[in-house]
Amino acid sequence: MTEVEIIEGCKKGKPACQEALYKLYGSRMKGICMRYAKTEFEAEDTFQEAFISVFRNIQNFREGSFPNWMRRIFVNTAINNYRRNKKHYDHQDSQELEIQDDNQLDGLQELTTKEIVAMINELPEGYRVVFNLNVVEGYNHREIGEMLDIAEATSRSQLSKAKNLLKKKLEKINPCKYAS
Amino acid sequence: MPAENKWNDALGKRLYDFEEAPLPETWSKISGELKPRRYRWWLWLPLIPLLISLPWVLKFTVIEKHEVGLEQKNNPKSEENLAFLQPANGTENSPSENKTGSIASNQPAPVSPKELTSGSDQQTNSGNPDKNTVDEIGKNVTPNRQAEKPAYRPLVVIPGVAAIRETEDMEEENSISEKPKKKILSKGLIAHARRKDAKPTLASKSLNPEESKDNTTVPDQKENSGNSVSAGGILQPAIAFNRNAKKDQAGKALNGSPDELKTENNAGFTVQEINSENKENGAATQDSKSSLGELSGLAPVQNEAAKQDSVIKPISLAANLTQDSSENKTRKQPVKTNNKWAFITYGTPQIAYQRVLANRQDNLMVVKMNHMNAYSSERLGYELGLRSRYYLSENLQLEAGLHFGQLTQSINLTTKATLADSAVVQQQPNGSVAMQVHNRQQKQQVIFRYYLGGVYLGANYVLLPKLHFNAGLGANTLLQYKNETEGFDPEITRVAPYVTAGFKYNWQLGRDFTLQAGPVMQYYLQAFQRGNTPISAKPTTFGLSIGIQYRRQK
Repeated sequence: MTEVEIIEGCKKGKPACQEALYKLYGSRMKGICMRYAKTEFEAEDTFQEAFISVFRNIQNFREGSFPNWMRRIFVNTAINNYRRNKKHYDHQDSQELEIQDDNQLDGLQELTTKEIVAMINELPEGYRVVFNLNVVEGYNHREIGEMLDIAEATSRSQLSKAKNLLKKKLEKINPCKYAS
Repeated sequence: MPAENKWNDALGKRLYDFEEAPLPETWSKISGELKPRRYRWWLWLPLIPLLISLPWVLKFTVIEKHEVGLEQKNNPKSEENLAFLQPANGTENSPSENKTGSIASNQPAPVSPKELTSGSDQQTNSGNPDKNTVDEIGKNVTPNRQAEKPAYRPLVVIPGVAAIRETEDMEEENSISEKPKKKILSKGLIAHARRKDAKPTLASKSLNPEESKDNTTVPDQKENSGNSVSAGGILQPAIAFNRNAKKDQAGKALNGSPDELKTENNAGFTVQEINSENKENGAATQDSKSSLGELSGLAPVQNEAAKQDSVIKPISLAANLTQDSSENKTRKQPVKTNNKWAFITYGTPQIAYQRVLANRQDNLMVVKMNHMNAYSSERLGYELGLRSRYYLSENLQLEAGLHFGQLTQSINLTTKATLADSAVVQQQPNGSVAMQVHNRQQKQQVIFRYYLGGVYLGANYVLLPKLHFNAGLGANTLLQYKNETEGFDPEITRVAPYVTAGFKYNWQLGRDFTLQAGPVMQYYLQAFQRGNTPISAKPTTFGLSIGIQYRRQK
């Protein structure tokens, strides 16, 4: 089945098409959830919720890139979960972790994506979301501020702190390279 | 900055394409959510007893109203009828007791003269000159009784006489009673017509001298049209159907018109007293008395002609009337002794809220309830039951009953393992070490469904005539249990006691049925889960109880 047939089948509620769509985009969408969630369980919850939302709203999809449409749903679901659980997250003060040297970011090339995602998951909740939205999804700080209901300056600050934290982690992983 | 942008792009691209295989069981969960929800037919169960009861309630209500309507329709003047149909004091009057000479009795009549002139006089045509025009004595009596037709014809009963005759015209005009008319001359009946060989009495002479010339014949029907009574009849003067005869008879004429005409029921029948205008004519009264004195002593005589021209009021009619009247009186004044027992069938859709109890014996702790106090269709349940109610008094009743119900515990919560899942140790720039401990958190929805049967014992108190408060104790026993949660399999208690309280508003649907509706709360005294379970929750249900109470009124 082609993607169009799968989508049409999903619009008609055919279980086979739904499963085909899941198999086609499940891994990619699960990756998105993994980046936004702190734990595997949170990612799983977001993944299920978002996929159900995709199937229930697939009638609204008209034209364009279907993967991008799905991605937006997954990102929005992840953001909604972040908003919902915002008050329960522990906010860490990472001022002391700031690193002044931007050249140390080259060490990322030696890490696998999964390791990088694991590092991102260790970021504080707000930093992680802003980092994902800016670096991965490409939203600017104004858009991020509107999405997360925070100030634009806050978004910039959190992104900077997120990067500093990542650099610090990279430095720990490969101290020789950063030492040079 | 360019180096940072390069780094951002490289990192962003790698992360954008990052893929992670979902867990194998994820699709089954998603597909389970996507399945169309099953039709919850059992939500309609509480309506079943209501729907079953409603036709019966309506039936009894309609019958009740119909009976009442018929009763009122058939007896529009039942009170009036009863007034003169009821037996007078000392009804056992022998003929000799009628010393008034007429059919009057010495006993006080139950009806006042005023009542008689307004209602009964029209029926007897004796006391309303405006409605009866007499051109000639014994002739051309124009009845004018169409204005009002009484429900029952008053009977004139003489002691020892079962029934009297009236002219056919009168019978026709007064043919109001729906009872079949039987031309029966009962035993002891004295015919109004005289025998040929009978002597004319004073009354007969005085009433109609012309006709009294030939008093052996029955008065001409044509001449005596209307309700006038010819002189040929002995009784007619006493009955005073033609009380206007005084105009022509000048002292003699109304000799037969008594001052008072009384009918007396000697065998349980009624006594009626009819006033006449001619109280001043004592002689006439005396004549009337004497004539009736003769009358009372006469043997039953039947004149064939008179029989043809007259219609005999059957005695059975009077008996029936009296009987009907007594029945009506009985219906009018029912003895209200309410039954001590009442029975209620009810249905209650319920929504259950949970109080999650701390459980310190496992490695999970509840971080938060994710849909606390929120409405969820998963929480809906129902209860159907029967209750009997014993009336200690009209304000306080004891209740006991049996019921069947379905209760669902739906809990959406986030749990956290008490044991550390992971720990991140970080060395600070100043050389200190910071450790961050992560505990595994998990969102879960726990659904337990219970099918319960139980007993109830409580009391109902009448706060207001239509507002009742009831409270009591109950205990449910587990009939069936469904656990729709993976990973949880707690031990479930077999008996769940609870206290309940509620208000009921009552609508009377008929004589015996009452519709009750109101909020009900059930508070369970212990959790359904027992032992070392991750989740232990005490449900509290809120419902709207709708029921029908049957209490037979004696």
